[in-house]
Amino acid sequence: MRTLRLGRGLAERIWLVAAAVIAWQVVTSTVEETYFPPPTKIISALHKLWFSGPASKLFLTDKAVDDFSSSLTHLFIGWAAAGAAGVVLGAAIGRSRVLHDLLDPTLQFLRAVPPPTLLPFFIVVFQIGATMQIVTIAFGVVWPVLLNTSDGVRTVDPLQLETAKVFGVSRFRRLLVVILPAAAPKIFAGLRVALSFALILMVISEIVGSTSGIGAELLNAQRTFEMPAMWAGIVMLGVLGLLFNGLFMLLERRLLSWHAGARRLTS
Amino acid sequence: MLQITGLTHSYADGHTAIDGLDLTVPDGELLSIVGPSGCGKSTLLRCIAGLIAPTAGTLTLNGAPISGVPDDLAVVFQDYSRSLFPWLTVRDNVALPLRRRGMGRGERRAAAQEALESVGLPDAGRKYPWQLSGGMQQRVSIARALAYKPSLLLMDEPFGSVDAQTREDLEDLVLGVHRTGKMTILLVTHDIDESVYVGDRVVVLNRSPARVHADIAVGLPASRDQIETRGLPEFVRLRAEVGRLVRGGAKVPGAAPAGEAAGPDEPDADAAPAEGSGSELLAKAAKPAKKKSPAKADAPAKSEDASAKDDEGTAKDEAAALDEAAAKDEAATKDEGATKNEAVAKPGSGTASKAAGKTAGKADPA
Repeated sequence: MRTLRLGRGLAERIWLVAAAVIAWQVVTSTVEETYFPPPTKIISALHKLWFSGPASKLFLTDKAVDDFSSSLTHLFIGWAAAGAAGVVLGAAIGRSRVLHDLLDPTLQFLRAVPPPTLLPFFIVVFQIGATMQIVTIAFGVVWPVLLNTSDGVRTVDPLQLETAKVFGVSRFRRLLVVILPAAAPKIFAGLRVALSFALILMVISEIVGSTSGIGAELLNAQRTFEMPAMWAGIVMLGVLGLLFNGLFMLLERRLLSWHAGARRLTS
Repeated sequence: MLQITGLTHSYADGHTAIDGLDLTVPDGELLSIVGPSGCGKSTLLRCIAGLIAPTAGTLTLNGAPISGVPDDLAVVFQDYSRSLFPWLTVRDNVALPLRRRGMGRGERRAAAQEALESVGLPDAGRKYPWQLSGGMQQRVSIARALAYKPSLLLMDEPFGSVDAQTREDLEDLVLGVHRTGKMTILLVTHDIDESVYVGDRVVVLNRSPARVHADIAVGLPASRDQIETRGLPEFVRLRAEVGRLVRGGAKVPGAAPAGEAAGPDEPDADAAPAEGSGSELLAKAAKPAKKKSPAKADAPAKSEDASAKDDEGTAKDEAAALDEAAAKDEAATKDEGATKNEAVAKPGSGTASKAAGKTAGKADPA
């Protein structure tokens, strides 16, 4: 019974993906248009490019190790740096009226600047390379974290703060034990948005200024008219985005189980 | 000992919540504070807790003036679901304030467990607050306050959000805690029955701005029982007396009116009820209360209020204001409060007043 229900749930979730892949396969293999290779060709390109390595290396090719490690390292360093800076700055701005008034207009302006437009500037300052990519990612994704944190810590229930005050919880501990946990659901929402932004900015920074990484591979394939390889890059990025979001959701569900539980009970 | 002299608090918008309130609470007393809702009870509590600084007046706790949150004070708030932290387990919630007491991790856990056992929740430690019922959550709040071992415990309408049965259990819990812990407890409520049942002494506050309207010693035996105590003639008398005082009605002779303790600056009559001498006010207000007949008991608040407005041209100021407050309060406390009051009102002309008459001479504190 349980397996039946599980199977049904799985079927409900993947039927559209399966149908789309099949349709794509049927249409593209009948039309035989070079720009739209069928999934079988894309998958074999994907396999050849990145996943035909030895079993000892989890079937990853050397190229895959190169591309993925550089792409993902930049992605995570940039995202983590932005996350840390966003939480710290956001908490400061959210808790201090003065800081908020002093910094908010500037921050609003910086946030409004589309991050890719700063790429030329970052390339000039940091040269092409890892630093430039990390800075681009970090600068682009800090905003959702910062603004969500600031909003989250500002809207902590005053009764929770009063309770902490009455029971003599020191200012610093109040921040750690009360304010940040209370703001955590919003902070996590910001971090999740930031993660998907980070993937976008990773690709853009690689397309514009790098010779390794998934984005550079994609551009390279396009320039040499290797359409299946280009599509392989696109599919790979989609899968990575899905994977990161899934992992993050798992982490969030674990860390914020209290939030989901409390909300389920009150509704 | 908690001493409050000339406490006045006005908010930034000019609203005066408390005006020249004097109150002394000796060590180990369980004092009930009743008053119509919105009369400044919460403001008073927040001043004592050091959460807001009063505009004027002094508060001292055990001889030290209160500026900022006092060290040995704990609060149980009405809204347990918001005052317990949902991201901490029950045990961590209870243990949270103990770090300040210089306890190690193990000691804190042990103290939290002990406090949870004392409120009848020995197995709840690993759960989260939101996994417990409302009454149990309020028990956790009480446990947290107990574990903190304060010399003064403030309770802000602590049983306002639980059902009637749970409420009685929690009242008995507080009585038990008070008996064994010997701490001073200040319990704010708008429930007249509760104030008498739980208190060693009941202080009735005026309609906003708050001042001490009456101060009544409760001469009930120390060990109380929900059924028996509530049936005692003395309980019935006190309940009626406090009820009338809260509604601005007549007073059974005996309790000392504290109305004379008004501040030197008389607020103008429109903004706030002018404080005359206490007895004069009570005499004025006596009329509508006497008019109440069993026939009108179906809608006691309304008919009483109406008759007060019709007949009492002179008592427009204070009595009407207090009556309105009572009517509002009644509306706010919904059916539960209304039916309780009805139950008092119906036999009120017969048995209750007879009983009151009988005991008034004997049990009178003044």
